[in-house]
Amino acid sequence: MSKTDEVVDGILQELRRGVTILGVLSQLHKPEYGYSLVTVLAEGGLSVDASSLYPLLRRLEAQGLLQSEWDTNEARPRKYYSLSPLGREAYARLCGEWEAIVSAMERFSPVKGEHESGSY
Amino acid sequence: MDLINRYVYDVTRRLPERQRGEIEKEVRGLVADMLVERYGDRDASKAELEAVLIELGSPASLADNYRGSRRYLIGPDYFDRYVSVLKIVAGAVFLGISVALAVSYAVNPPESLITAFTRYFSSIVGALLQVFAWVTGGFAIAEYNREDAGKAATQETWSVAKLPELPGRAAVIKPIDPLINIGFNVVFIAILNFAPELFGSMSISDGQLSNLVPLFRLDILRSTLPIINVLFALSILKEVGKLYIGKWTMGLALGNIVLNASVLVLVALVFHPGAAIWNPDMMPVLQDIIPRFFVFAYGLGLVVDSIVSFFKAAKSTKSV
Repeated sequence: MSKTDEVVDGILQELRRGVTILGVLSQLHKPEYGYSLVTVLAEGGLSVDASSLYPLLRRLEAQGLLQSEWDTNEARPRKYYSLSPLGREAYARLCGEWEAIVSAMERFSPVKGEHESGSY
Repeated sequence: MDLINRYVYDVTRRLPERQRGEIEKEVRGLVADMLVERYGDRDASKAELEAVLIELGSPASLADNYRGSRRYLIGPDYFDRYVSVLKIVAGAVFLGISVALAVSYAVNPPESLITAFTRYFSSIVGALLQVFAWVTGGFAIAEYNREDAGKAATQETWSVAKLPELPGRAAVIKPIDPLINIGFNVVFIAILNFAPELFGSMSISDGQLSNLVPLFRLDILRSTLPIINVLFALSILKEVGKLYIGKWTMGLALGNIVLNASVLVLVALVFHPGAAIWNPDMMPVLQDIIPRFFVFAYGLGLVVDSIVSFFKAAKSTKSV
């Protein structure tokens, strides 16, 4: 791995950490279990490792953004997560912040336009 | 199935006990879901299961993710200070023991070079282990009680007024100071514990130096040693505090005064004139003078030290 790859990977990881939370919150207006969420996010183009998503869900629940329930009716017990009232409120505010960030970045660099500096 | 059990066990054994049950269920469910997604409802082969576990990553990293923030015995906040305090205290203790044993060997020549070296090395190793244990323990307690920077910030707003003053030149405690004091303390501890008969007075009879008359009654000294050692430990503790904070602050000065006062009380209790510890076989003139002088000098030293530290601290906090 070249030096650039390493640096870019590190920054990308930090960027993804926040975006993943937004992605998760966006999908939990209705209950989902961990693995279904991995699939949904991947289909939407946001790939997340299950090994980091499951712990993330627990952390968001501990913060009060999510609520959970074990469904024991199926063959395998599954833990379903959904937004708590606090989570709904937080998500709505975060969406506003996210739009501000995106529009700022659009002003700084032509995200949607042509890449002036070329691609690497 | 055995492979899953071993994987789950290796993840959960790294986690706090009260979270283990739930996380175990989660991880089992996750592995099952991954298997179904890849191979449908049929039983997966061992190789297929292996592939899924590999994809999930090592148990250590999965447990790391579950743990979130890392826990330290001594975290990055304290580590550099911990290392420098450890170095200085270990250096002082090393020097102190070397001096103390050199003195005791000069007076009581050891039987052989080998016994001399064995005793020297075992004393050094024992003392350094003590230093390591106490300093590490102290910092571990500090780490455990450390205010989380993030948490503290939300509780009270920070303002520039809260920046600490630059210590004035007089208020800075140079490391050499505590280092010398710790060294002296260790020399005295070592001599009192290993060769108390060295403290004594010579008397001249028939134009010849007679034997040392010990200052202390050795039997009483031995039974009081624990108290005396506490006394020295308090002084060393004080020096470590000075090293750790690095400048005279009001808190440090007040702590210094409290420690000095308790040391003074202990000294007066054990060594006051007429106390059982003084050897009645001393020459009558000395019997009166030495204890008085000892307590007076010790007390004066402590009082002066307290006053000086107080003024240094007051000076450094006043200059706003």
